[in-house]
Amino acid sequence: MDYVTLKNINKTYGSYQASTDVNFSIEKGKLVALLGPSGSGKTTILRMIAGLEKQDSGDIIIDGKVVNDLPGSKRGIGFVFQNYALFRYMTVAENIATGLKIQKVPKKQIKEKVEELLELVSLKGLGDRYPSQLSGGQRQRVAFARAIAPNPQLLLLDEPFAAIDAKVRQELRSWLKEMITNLGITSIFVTHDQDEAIEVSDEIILTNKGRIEQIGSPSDIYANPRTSFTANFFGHNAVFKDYKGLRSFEQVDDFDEVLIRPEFVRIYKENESQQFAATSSPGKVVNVVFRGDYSEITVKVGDKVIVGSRSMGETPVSVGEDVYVLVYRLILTKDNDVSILDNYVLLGDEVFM
Amino acid sequence: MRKENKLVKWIMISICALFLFVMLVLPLGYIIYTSLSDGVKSFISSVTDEYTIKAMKLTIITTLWAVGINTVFGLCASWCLTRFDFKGKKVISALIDLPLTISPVIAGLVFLLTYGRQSVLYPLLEKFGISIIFAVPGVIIATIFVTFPYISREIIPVLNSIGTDEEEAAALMGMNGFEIFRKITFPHIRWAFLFGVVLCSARAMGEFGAVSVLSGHLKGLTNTLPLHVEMLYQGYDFTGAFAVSSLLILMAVVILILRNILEKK
Repeated sequence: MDYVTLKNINKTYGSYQASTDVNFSIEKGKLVALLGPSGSGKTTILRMIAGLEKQDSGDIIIDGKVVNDLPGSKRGIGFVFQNYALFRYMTVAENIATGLKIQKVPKKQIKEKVEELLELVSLKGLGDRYPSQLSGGQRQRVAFARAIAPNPQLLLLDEPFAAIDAKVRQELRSWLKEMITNLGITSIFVTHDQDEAIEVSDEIILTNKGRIEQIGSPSDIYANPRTSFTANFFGHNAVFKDYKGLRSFEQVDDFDEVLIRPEFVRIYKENESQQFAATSSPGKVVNVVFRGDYSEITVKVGDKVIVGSRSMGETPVSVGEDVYVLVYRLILTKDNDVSILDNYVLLGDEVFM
Repeated sequence: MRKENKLVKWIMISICALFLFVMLVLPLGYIIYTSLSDGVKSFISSVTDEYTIKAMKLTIITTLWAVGINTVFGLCASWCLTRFDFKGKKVISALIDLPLTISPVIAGLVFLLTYGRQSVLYPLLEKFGISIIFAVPGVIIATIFVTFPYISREIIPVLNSIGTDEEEAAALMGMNGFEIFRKITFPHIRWAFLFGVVLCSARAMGEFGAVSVLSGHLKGLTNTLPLHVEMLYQGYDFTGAFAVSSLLILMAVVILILRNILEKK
């Protein structure tokens, strides 16, 4: 069942087109990422759903009701702002209680609910602190607790991890995903970070220049890009004008660019026996970067610089070494279209290794 | 390095201290000294003079009006300029600064022309029995004009820097506009607002130029304290002039003390 639907939404700021024909539906209970580069219109979409901006045309439907003329406070939503927007002159407990007070919930109930939420976000005992006395991660959790306090049916989060340092961000990602999944609340969060979107969301809505590029599950959108923007946006692509010198690929003439992703590349040492020796191309290692559990290896094949990896367990390669490079899959783009070209020798084999 | 820093520090402090002494302490001290030079008795008689007291009353009334009206105007103007986008916003923002750049005397003359006898509005005002020029309303209008940027200019930068996130968050929770202002916005601008009020009152009490043009210097009727000081001075009553001046200084000091007390709370 769809909980949120946007139909033909358009929005301009002066001469700037922020949203063009935006259409999508979100199922109840799903955690959805609105992903895109900055200026792609993702925050505008979120703010329109929240009622903080009004679309020029089109309908926003929440829970079967057209909410175009309903103020944000009547849409049953919770909103987590990018910089949390905690009320600086109120304590943590007062912040969380604000929404309930406005709904005229009895005092005793408010107190219980606030305690319950503080415990839920592991901030028990910090209710009397002011936001300025908390760390970034703690503030984020307060913002989350404040947003869900009035039991909204839809939770909107604007770049929820942007203002937090890298280490805490990782923890918070898993925490937030678990929390939202447990609560079963339909959620939409805005992010510009593809890793974050892939890791946290059930579904990704990819935006670009005010339009929706592609909608799908993270694995689907990652493996099967349907537009050249999507193909370029995901993965760490190496981009070429041709694929001459790479063996075992059908000859296609009509394309603009070739993308090669590291996960479609295998690198073998010269002495390693391999099944597909005839399919791989000789190359020279130009750089090795240790990444902890694997090494990122840059290889020059003919005139092309391709990136692949070798895991910790494998014999290390060194710079200047001759190696064999096996490419499984190429992504060809033509205008905004995408086609996938698989290595024909490997066809039928598992592409992802 | 450290030694050099210390030297620079002391030079800076000395310059500041010397400047403050020459520009503030010395003249102010001298005023009080001069006002007391003919003895405390003549000081008291100047200060308790019938016209001095009337002038003081008028000054206080004028200041209260100016601060009251400018508070409302200042809050509205700064809210509009920071929270709404509309055509002519820049023009309004520039207009608010006008009294700071325009000479008060010219401001006074502008009002004199607009509401005086030669104005087309004059018959209308007369019909309703409103007299502005050479009357208390004129004094109040002149003061309001000269002091209206002070409060909004203090608040606008603060409103800009806090952004609208907290207000939006409160609105999404269902707070109404007035509650948002009272509970979310006002705590942020409290000190800036208070400082604006202090500046506004101080300026209102001391305004001379514009008021001088519009008041007509009617002793006991439209004379404010600064005008009264000038009148005494022109009449060669130096002790009186200095005594009344020290009264004005005293009022300024009281306002500063009040502000500090409020800030501590």
